[in-house]
Amino acid sequence: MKILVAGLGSPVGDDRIGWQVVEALGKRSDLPDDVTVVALPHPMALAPLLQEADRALIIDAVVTGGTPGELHEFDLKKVPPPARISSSSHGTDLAEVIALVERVGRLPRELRLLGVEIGSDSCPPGVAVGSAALGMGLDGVAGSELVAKVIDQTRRVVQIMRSHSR
Amino acid sequence: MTTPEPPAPRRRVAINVPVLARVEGEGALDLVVENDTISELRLRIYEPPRYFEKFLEGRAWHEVPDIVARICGICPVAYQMSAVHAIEQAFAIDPGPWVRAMRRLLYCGAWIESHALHIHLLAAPDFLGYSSAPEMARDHAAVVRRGLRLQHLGNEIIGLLGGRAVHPVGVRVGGFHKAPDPKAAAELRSRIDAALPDAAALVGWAASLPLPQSAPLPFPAVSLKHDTEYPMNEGAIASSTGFTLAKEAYESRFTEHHVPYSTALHGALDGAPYLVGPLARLALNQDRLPDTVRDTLDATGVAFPSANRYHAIVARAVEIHYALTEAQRLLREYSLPDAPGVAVTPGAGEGFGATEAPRGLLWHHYELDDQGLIRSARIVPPTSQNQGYIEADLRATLTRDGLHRPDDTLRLQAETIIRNYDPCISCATHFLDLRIRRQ
Repeated sequence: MKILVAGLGSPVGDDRIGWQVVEALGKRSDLPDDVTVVALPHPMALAPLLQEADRALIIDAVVTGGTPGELHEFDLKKVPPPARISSSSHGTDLAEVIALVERVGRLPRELRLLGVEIGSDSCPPGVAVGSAALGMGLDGVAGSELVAKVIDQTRRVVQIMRSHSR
Repeated sequence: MTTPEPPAPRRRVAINVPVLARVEGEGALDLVVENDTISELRLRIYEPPRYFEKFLEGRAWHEVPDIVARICGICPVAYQMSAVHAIEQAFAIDPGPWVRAMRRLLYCGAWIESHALHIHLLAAPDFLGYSSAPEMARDHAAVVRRGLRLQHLGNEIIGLLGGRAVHPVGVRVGGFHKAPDPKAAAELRSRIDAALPDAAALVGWAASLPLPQSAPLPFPAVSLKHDTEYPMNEGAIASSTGFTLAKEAYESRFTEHHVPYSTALHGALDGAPYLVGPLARLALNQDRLPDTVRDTLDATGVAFPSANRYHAIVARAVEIHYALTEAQRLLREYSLPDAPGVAVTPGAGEGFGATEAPRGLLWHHYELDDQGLIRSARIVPPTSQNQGYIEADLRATLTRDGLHRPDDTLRLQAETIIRNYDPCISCATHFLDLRIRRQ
């Protein structure tokens, strides 16, 4: 597998943005053949995929205190653990999975996190957090503008990754 | 382990630490120890199926496979399989042998993926004395690599039929949306051929782990039983207590009851806790294993049925070996069909689905109206069936080994016992609070 794009999150929870972006991406046929797109409910499911991937981009909801909908991009290989993933909504588990794959010597050559800010539980009362902050209704439909923005950024990152592997 | 200590003065200790990280979901265990006995033991878990049962009402028959796939992100295939079989029964549809074989192949992928994850990332660190899988990987890199390879192969089998690994979208009532390309099927088969020695070696490795011995408990094992096959999608419901039931009669012996401390229901067989899952399946179906799998198991010296619940990790390894062998057979016989399924004419009816999810029996019941809309849905997942039995195991094993032991020791043992059942609690968050109160 050359390039892996993995959306993390519950399909029905507050952190469903990663899942949703990948579902939207998966329906498009204009992605290059060497890109594998998966939605994962649990970071543990990421381990075997990371072991097989040359380059990987993880999309997840993050909480950094920023404005909901804001995008953050991290190079997970350059930031030392555990700080590198503490902001992901799947913090410890994602760190564990990356550490695990690193220990067995199979971490992808490039590993990046595209985080979508979802606000935090410590926000003042009345401030929407999670999926609500992103304009996602109860039926799990995210604001299409936001999904489009994340998809654009994902395509950009994938394009850069592909240029590296030429 | 059971060294008696002098009676402690009456004391009350309250502990609330998020500890049980390696279970699939979220929950809590409350333990009250009064002098030398457990006076209260409550495993509180949160399960989403109840919400989904209501959510399904009024939805169309063809939406059901995609909706139920979201109940459990770890084993969506299982929910889809029980659902499509139930709806096909309601519509009196037989999708034929090609679909039947491919659904079996899909389930092979699901078992391999789920069991490999549980063995290597969740259970084995407990038995080898590591606090996490990465820590274990430092000393057992080759074993973990092998586990991840097998897990990936499971994903690829699901991907061949599901269109997308991990969350399959290829399943529909009546069959599949499309048939796998024969070239892709042949390519996957060659990788399965190459991986079979890995699976056989895994069985030996699991059996060689320094596994503890569970405290004695009755062992009412429940699983599907098929006339000739190791059960996946078909068969009657059998119990080691000596009966078999048609799937339609499940509710005549099995009940679910609410406990005030948990959103999950507790299952009971004739009023008592029972066990579903790999250990129960193997206990009732070992005579359905092909020779190669049987010989590998026999070489380990572990005898089934085994009432030592910790042998579940060996049973999972055996089922990986079996599922890979079965997937090889199914792919060897693969041919492109005229159509990947049959046409569906919806109508009023009632249907039942009973299939073997990686974690055990998964029972669905639907009633549909003449438009094919769901009038009622009932879903009984394996974890709620096992919940009463997990509590009984915790009580028996913690008590046998001594309740005077330090809190940290009790906590680690309780975690190990719970994790051993691979409870799929929900996919929202990943902690279980353990609260011990000594009085």
